[in-house]
Amino acid sequence: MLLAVDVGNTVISLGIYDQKELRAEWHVSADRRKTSDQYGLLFMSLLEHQGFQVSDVHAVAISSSVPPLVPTLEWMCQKYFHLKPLVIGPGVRTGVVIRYDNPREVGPDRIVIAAAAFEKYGGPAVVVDFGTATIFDAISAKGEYLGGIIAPGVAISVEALFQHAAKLPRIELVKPPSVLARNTVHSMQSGVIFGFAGQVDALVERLVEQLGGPEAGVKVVATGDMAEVLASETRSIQAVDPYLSLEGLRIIYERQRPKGEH
Amino acid sequence: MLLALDVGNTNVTIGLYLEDELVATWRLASSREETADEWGLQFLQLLKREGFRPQDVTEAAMVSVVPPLNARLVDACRRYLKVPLMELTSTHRSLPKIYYDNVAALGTDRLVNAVAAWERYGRSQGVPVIAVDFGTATKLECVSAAGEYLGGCIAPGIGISTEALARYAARLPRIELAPPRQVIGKNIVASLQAGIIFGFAGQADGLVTRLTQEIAPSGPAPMVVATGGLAHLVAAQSKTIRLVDPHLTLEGVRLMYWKNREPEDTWS
Repeated sequence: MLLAVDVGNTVISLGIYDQKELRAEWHVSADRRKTSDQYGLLFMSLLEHQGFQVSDVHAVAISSSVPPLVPTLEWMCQKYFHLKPLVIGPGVRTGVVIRYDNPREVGPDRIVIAAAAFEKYGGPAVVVDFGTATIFDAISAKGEYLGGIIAPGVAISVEALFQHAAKLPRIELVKPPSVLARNTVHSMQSGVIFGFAGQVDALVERLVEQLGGPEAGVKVVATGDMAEVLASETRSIQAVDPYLSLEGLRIIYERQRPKGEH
Repeated sequence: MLLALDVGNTNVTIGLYLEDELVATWRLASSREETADEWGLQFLQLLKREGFRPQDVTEAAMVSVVPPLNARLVDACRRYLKVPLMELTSTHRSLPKIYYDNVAALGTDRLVNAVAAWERYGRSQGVPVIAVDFGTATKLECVSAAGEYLGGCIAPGIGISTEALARYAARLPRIELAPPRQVIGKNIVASLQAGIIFGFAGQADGLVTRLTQEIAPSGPAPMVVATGGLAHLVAAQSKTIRLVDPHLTLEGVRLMYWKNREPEDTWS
């Protein structure tokens, strides 16, 4: 089985694949201070808790937005899984053509997402990935990664507001009864939920325009922690796919093997 | 002359008014460390640099969202300018009617924006107004044509959100907040500029559009006025913001102070 590891700035997502089937998935905090041994024990415990054994894992694919965690996880794979992981980065045959000023500058997570979105939904497409940053990826009709837009993420923005504004409370990120709010908590919920929905719609509409306008049939897919909450408040998001990153890691992993080999 | 203070979470903005004319403005960091003496000395120095004397200041009023600073500023005005500093609160006279669950809990910074937006852009024109303040938080206030405060919303501000992103995201640089040249960013800086400038314009538009549907589903469209340090940058990309008034909050402090310095029966 394949263990897919997507390292984000705040959370690491893990998925275990039996061929194309996602059998289980987990999330752990992306802690830069944790050692290979700590990650090894953590990953093994999660697998065992779900009834898998370390020996079931015959491959690991990693994409990381946190460069310092790559060697940590490589060591972990050697020591606990006795294998060399596939780390997505320059030189890996991903099947995604990158149209960017400097292709090496593109984060591996973007390429993984682009691979999955094009394979599952076709092109042209826009992916909205709600994480530490909200990242909008533009994918051409041919599946090329065209670049995108990066905006501050929902959760970190709300946390920053709480920390900087002496009089504002921490809030739960749920939809308020109406946009027009008449107390502080509802005011903040309204500003956050409808404000970010407006941000997404405005940015997606600009990207769709660049990808050929409404006639081009651009697919708009959302993924990430806030996708479920915000998608229904936007008019631009057509589908929510929580496993896009893990799927992309599986797809790119499969592309490394010559045809016919299993 | 009136010294008007807008004490925000990031900056203290100060305006000096000769009647209704704003003759000088200054901006200081909202330092939580500075003492009353340090604030007082800064006031004296700023006034002197612009050719004013301490005794030119005959009145002072403030709106504050940073309670720990209030006593020091009151003290500074009393000892260095010899004037009492009135702290405006949401229970002072402001708009003809306020619709809010608990009026005392409505931020006075929001209320002064609502007062200024209505008095300057709504009252005589007979249209509802929406004020958008791009500060530490982005705050929107809705006022009916008749001057009723209807409610609003609060979203994370541009500066703090952008700063948080640079702090949390390992691969992302700090960038200059400038309008992007392309929509599909072909490098990280361009991608971030598009996300921030187009994104926050979209955030404001999304909120204004939804608020408009609730407050004025039919009838005259609301006048949408923006203020705050980054208002110019965002307004240029916004579809709903009609004008930028950089001193809206100070105007609100002056207008609300004027409503409260006279005895109740002369208030109109």
